[in-house]
Amino acid sequence: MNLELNVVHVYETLRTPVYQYLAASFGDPAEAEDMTQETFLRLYVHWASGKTIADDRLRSWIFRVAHNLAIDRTRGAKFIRELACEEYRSVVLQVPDSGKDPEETLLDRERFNAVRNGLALLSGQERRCLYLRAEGFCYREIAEILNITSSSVTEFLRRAMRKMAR
Amino acid sequence: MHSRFNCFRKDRDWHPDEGDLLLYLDGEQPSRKAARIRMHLEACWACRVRAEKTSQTISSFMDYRNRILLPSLPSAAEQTGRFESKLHALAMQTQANRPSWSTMLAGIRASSEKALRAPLVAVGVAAGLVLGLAVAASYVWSPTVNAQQLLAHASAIEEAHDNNRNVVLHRLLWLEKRRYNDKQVLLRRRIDVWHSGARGITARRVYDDSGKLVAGEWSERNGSSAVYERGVRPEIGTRDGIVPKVLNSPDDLWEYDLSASSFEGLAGATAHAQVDKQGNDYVVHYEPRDGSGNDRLLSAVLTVRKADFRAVALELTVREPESSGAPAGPGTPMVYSIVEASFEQRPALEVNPQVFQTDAEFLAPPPPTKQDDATADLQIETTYLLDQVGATLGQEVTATVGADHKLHVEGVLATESRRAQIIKALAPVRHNPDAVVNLITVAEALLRKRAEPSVMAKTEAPAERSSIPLFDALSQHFETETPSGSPVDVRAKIQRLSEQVLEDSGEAMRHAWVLKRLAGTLPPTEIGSLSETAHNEYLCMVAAHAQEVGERTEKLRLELDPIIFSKGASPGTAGEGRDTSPADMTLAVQQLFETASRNDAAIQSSFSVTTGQAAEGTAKVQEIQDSLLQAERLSKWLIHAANVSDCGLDSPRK
Repeated sequence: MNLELNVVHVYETLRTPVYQYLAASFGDPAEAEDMTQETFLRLYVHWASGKTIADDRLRSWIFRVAHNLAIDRTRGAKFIRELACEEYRSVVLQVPDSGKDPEETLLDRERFNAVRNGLALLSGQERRCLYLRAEGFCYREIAEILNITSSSVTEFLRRAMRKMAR
Repeated sequence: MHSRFNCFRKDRDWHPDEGDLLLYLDGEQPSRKAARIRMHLEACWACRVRAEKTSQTISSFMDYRNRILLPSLPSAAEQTGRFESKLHALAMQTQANRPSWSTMLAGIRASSEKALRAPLVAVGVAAGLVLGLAVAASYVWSPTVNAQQLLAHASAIEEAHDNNRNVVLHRLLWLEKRRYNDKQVLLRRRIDVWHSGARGITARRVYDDSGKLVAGEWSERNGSSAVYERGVRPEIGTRDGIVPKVLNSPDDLWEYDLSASSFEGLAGATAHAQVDKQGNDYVVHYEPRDGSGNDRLLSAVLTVRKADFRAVALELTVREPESSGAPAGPGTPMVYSIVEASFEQRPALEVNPQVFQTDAEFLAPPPPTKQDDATADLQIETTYLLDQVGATLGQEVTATVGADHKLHVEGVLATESRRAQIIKALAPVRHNPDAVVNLITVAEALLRKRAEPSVMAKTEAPAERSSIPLFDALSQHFETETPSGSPVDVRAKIQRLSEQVLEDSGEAMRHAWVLKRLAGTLPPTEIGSLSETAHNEYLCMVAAHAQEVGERTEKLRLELDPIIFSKGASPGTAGEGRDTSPADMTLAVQQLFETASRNDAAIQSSFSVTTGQAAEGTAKVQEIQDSLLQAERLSKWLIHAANVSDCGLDSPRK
């Protein structure tokens, strides 16, 4: 039972970032939720079999499993989530302005448009590197999660920055 | 200084590329190179601008991610219960299948490695491998399940479901009572159960064969419970004693939870229970041993689904109690079964809060009993005193005549100060020998547990709603009213209006309830025989609560008037020339209560999230308006009929 509680605790702590990463990087939120749960069930199986994970590697282990699950499920399919135009407009309009004046609000919207356009130009790996970096992972951890080298991570992020800055 | 100058001179023609800058900004550069870039940026404006531009790009991306992208994703929170169910199922399966294939394979691998080091024992290893596989297969294909373990796992899953704040559980159950010998069905009931994890409330309704609501129970997480049956005083208590209660009176089995945890409570020592695997289910059999204390219980069988460890059927064989009056006589074995017909988990926000409200028919007072004039006067005076401090609203305190012909004033108060206030208000009657005052606080009720009541939520605050049936009509109104308003402003206005309308409707309903209870206190024929003081107090209370109903209803109508109602409607006058006999007043109170109930139901369904569609909501608009006007007319008529002038109606009770 302790093992289950431990898994539930990790799930409670990490399910949101894992889900957000999967949903934002790979697509369908419902599928992302399912994959998120599957990820933590695998953690249970891993621990139940007597294997261990160092505390400081647990987060990247979870993301790596989630990532591999997503890759397996989406192999061969173009599975990138884009905010549909209407959805995007509706979300942008609802963003609280935090007391900003109309001009600043307008500028914010312009910036969001630019980022959105930039994101549309990214490849899958560039996008994943970007979201993982946003989750706070260092390059070595990103490399482990995506099963690539650190220099590839640098290159993907550099390209992503260039496309976003256009 | 010299070396720094040299370094600068050396790096003057060198500029870090984008990758270097990004690594530097991300803290990923080795310290020496990071120092070099830092010094370069101090000297080179062009590179510093490039670095700042990269930082701005990161900042814009993070802003977009946090404010646009992530909020657009559906929340994952509501899935926790489902995950925990899956995890428990996996844990159970893992335990049942032990030693698992992976453990077996690990053992085999270790043996093989050893075998490679010692080729002479290879034959023995092969034999061990075959034996190991056979053992593993026996575990995998016919695992034994321990009843205690199974029930503990199933209970844990139930607890996770029950505490999930994001969903509402809805179950439909069938209860049957059969004679053990010839299986003849003697009773059949449908049980509808709603449970809110967020509120910790369970509403259980029982319907007879014809679909008529016959009983209900509203219980809270703290164990307090109120059991209602038509025409009977509610039974306030706790669920602590539910198992002995059910065993002593099996017809009350509808109050029992179909769950593994309840089965544990029923069976007690589940170590003696046996588990069989039947298709997709685990079936737990329990037969009490001698001296277990369960004299009536002959056997109990619980069916638990393998897929999600949910209890789906319970069968109890019990000896009919001596007090049952069963035709077959006491001691006759009877079989009671509860079987789940459907189970669903609904997002909490999509469930109409009305399903957790106590049904109006249960709140109607029991038929009045004939009583002597002195007790009738005392009851009216006490009710009047309670009414003065607002204690009659929501049945905070009740004053009813018991079988001992004494007036019982009972209630559970939220705080000590509220109790003191009410006791002070009751000073003129508290020492009357015919009055029995029993007021306790919630804290005391919880301490007593089995003794006296806790507070039941008769009405629920409306849940946060994402949209309402009248959303489109309201949206159109507010957009026309303020064309420059953002969708967020419009939503906020709709939210505010909905809250106000629901509050006004709920208040009108509360006062209508008080009126109904008041009218039910005495038969119309006895009102005329009250003392003058008691009669005047009675009329004052009728007029005051009628005024509250009228004012709240009018406020409600005026709030909705410019938005959805046809203009210019007014209540006018209603039958002011009618006879004002006590019987007519009682009838008018009944009509007002029914009208207010109808209004409240219509308002709730129009301004709360329901499964109905907008078209349905708007179709009711005219009916709502007519009904509100009717309530106002009836209220005015009652005030007129009460014909009292010195009740202080200008400062109505809250």
